[in-house]
Amino acid sequence: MSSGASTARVPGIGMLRETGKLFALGLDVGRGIFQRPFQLREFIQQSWFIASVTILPTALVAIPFGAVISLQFGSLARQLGAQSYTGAGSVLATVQQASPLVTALLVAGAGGSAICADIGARTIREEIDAMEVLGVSAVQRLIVPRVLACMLVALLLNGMVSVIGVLGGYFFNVVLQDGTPGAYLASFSALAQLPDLWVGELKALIFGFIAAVVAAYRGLNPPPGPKGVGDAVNQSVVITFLLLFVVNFVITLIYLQIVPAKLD
Amino acid sequence: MGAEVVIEGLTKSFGKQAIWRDVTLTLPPGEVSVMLGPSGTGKSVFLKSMIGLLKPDRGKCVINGVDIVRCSEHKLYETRKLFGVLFQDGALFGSMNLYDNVAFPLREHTKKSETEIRRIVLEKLEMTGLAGAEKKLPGEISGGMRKRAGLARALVLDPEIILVDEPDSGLDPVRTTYISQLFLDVNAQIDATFLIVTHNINLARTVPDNLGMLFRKELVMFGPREVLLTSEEPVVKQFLNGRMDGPIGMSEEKDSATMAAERAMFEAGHHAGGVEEVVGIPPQMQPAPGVPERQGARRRKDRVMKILHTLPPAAQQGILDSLSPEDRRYYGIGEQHSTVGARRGQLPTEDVAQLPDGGGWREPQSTQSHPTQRLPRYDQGTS
Ligand SMILES: Nc1ncnc2c1ncn2[C@@H]1O[C@H](COP(=O)(O)OP(=O)(O)OP(=O)(O)O)[C@@H](O)[C@H]1O
Ligand SMILES: [Mg+2]
Repeated sequence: MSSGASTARVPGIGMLRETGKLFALGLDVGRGIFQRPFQLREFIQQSWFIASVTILPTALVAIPFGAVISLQFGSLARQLGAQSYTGAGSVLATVQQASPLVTALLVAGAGGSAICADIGARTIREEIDAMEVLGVSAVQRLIVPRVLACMLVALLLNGMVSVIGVLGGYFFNVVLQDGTPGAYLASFSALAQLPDLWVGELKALIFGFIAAVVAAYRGLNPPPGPKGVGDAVNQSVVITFLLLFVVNFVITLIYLQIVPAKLD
Repeated sequence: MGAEVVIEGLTKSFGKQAIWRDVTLTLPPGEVSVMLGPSGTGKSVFLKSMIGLLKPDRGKCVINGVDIVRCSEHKLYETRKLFGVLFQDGALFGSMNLYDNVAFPLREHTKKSETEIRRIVLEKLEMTGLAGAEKKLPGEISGGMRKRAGLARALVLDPEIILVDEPDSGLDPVRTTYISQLFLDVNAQIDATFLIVTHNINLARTVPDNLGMLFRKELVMFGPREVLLTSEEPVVKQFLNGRMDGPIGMSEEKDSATMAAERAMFEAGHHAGGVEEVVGIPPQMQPAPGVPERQGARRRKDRVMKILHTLPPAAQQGILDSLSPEDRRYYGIGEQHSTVGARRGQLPTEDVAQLPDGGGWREPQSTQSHPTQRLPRYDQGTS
């Protein structure tokens, strides 16, 4: 629980230490997933809770997001004389990039911050200590169900965002940019392929995991003092965002390398 | 019988800030010990280190042959089941009502049926005076009730060692005495080893069998209560009297210049705080009538009589004064000395059997080191 700051003589060593501990928690969670008894009740409650705080904002964000992408792509495609690929382009962009990120930002912003605040409050009230002292692992009991719930909700939300995004894109393209419904739909299968959907879902899973582990980590190790939990929530969201964009970059890079694009 | 806790050379620091060094003490099984110390000397950190929530830098903390500091995670969780811990604010699970809080350890660690759990939980709630409050959430009850509920939860697995962090914080003096009484009753009933951390002088003077004090990053002393209560050590006297005059300062220890300046101030007539000089050894609180006799107290008497000659004279006198006439006869002390042999027949036979080296109090494995290891501390303390 000691914060790295007090020992940071070599610059950056505190950050390295925190990163190491974050990874250690990630591994513990990975191990905890396979330990019995599985906390089914907690998992269901948390899934429900996270879904309830994220569904509405996600839907509200997804519509304009799909619209923006499809408008942007539509006008670009028209300038290049490739109107017939508008549908395919915006579907690709939505399914592969936009929807996992939108999902992750909302899971981190709404779900992760709630998890961090909850765990943080329990930490400073010594509930976590009390649980450990009663011989119950807090990671297995509290963190694992939350991480799994976050992953599940991210997966489902990702599907939802994809659908809403594509519908939104269709609407704006057809209604506002005078695209033809037939061309839009027909081009779907020209560029997009099933692995695009899989990679989107995989990303959502990974993002959900990261968001929950970071939130739990900050919650378990809040800065001391009454302001601690507030700061922890704040940091957890910022750290998650940073991590997500890096991880997204890496996954996209790998995916584009190993899965051949459909057209060529 | 409660478990013995042997702590050797325990040292803890956070980064460069040393909290305490080389703490060595033994909590005798079934006895009640109290640890005093000014705020911020790391008493809570000490408790947390004992149960492996914090990792000390060096040293050992051995319970039933398991070293908490170095054992595997699996062993650690196993050993923790021997502990009941009462945290400063009760540390109840905020999302569960009192009943579920108290039932939690039973549901986690036993295969008991719900009816049996119900019986045990209601019994513990009754014992802590919370009957009828089992549906309340922790947020809806007062601090004192939370503390008692925390105690009920700590007691539910019949722990062998009970650690208590500041039972008196946030409680009025009357409730503090009630909760002290409860500790003694519980101790008498289940013979668990107690370690209570507190600032409360009344509690420290009347409840424990053993008293210790942390100050200046060290264990100043630890031993039978009479030793600390009769100590001439300035820190101890200052602490017991709650005065400003002495080595303990507002934020940390005073340096000698500050101390001299303050000395002059107090000599010039400034009130150093405190009311009356706290001296002497008040009688110890006893379990309530109807509760069985404390086995720990009986073992302690044997133990203390064995190491009596190693204690400072004032403490020796205090211990001898506290003996009842039967005890005096039993241990062969005082005027009745010559009649010991003749009177023995009056004592319950098992006591007689226990006295020489029997099944009651057993010296820890390190038989020789035990009294001597403490002795230097007393010498320091009184010189
Ligand atoms: N997790 C931590 N990280 C860094 N320092 C800590 C941590 N916990 C405690 N400390 C430091 O350890 C010292 C002792 O704290 P502790 O809470 O044990 O004091 P205490 O003796 O229990 O005081 P009080 O009587 O006021 O409860 C304090 O100076 C505190 O700053
Ligand atoms: Mg404390």
